[in-house]
Amino acid sequence: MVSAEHFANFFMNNMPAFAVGMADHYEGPIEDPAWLGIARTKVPGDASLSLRMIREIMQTVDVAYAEEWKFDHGIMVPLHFLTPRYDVPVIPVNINCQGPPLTPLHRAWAFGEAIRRAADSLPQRIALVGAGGISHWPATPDSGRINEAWDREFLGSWAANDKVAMMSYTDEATYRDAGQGGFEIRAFIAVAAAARGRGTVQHYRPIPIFAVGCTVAGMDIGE
Amino acid sequence: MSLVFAGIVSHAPGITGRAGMGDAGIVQEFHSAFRSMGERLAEARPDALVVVTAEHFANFFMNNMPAFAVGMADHYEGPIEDPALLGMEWSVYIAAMREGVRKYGPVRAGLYSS
Repeated sequence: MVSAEHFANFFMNNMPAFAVGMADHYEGPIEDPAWLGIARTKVPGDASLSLRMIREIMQTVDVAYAEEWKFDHGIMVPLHFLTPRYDVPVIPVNINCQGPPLTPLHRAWAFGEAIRRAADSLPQRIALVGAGGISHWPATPDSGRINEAWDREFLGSWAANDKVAMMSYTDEATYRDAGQGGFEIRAFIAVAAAARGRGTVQHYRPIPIFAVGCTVAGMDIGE
Repeated sequence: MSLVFAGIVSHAPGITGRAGMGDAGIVQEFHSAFRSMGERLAEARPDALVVVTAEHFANFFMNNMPAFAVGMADHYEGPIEDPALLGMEWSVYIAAMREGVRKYGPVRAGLYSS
């Protein structure tokens, strides 16, 4: 699960560009369960599988590993819908989209390629989900604003797996057009790089009360 | 401008902490070679010094262990081997470190077995 957390585990005293969890279990949500609408729960992980993935990923992309990790909504909301019984071990992955300097988009791409190589090197069947917002302005007076045209353009490039188009975004333009939440396209880019296929947007609709263009999209696994 | 100086040195705590315990001549020779590098460094007139080191659980722990970390502050403090900065008695720290190595070995068990 590639997500972008929000100062729950990683702070300005040691901010990794990429972090991968390496524990046998995790806990979440770090938010007030009543506020989030998700009960606090223990989520299974797999430290030994994490270790094997990390060793392969690090052949090309350096990551921080984390033996403790409290999940925030960035991971808990997806799990709530995707594996509501928490019966599939999770390997949490964080891309710093919070505290600049942020990793360049081409490194998010390289990270996705490394995840693919690691998954292909293992006997296990690995599912990969990227979780984040497209345009959004969380925790600002603009919260609730959504740039639908920007979102749809990005999702079009993502679904076409158009690397050139995805790499053409600059953080300056993203900040202007899609808010600081737009930096989270890194999670989606990593998934496109890993899947190497064509995507299908199954759902996209701006829902201002949720403060984001709500997205569900799958991608074929390419060669 | 560009890279103007490069070198490598030892960093073991005994180099300063046990300076009085070694053969005085040998210690003296090493310390003066160390200081000589400092002079050559000064002659290169650097505006900043990048020190690449491997720290020992002073700032980076198993809950967030970066492959590479780079400082980005206007000032730093040290040494952490100071009970006031460390936040615990030195004897407690040493005992915990030795106990950790006794329990888990110098590197994580099994990591290099395959």
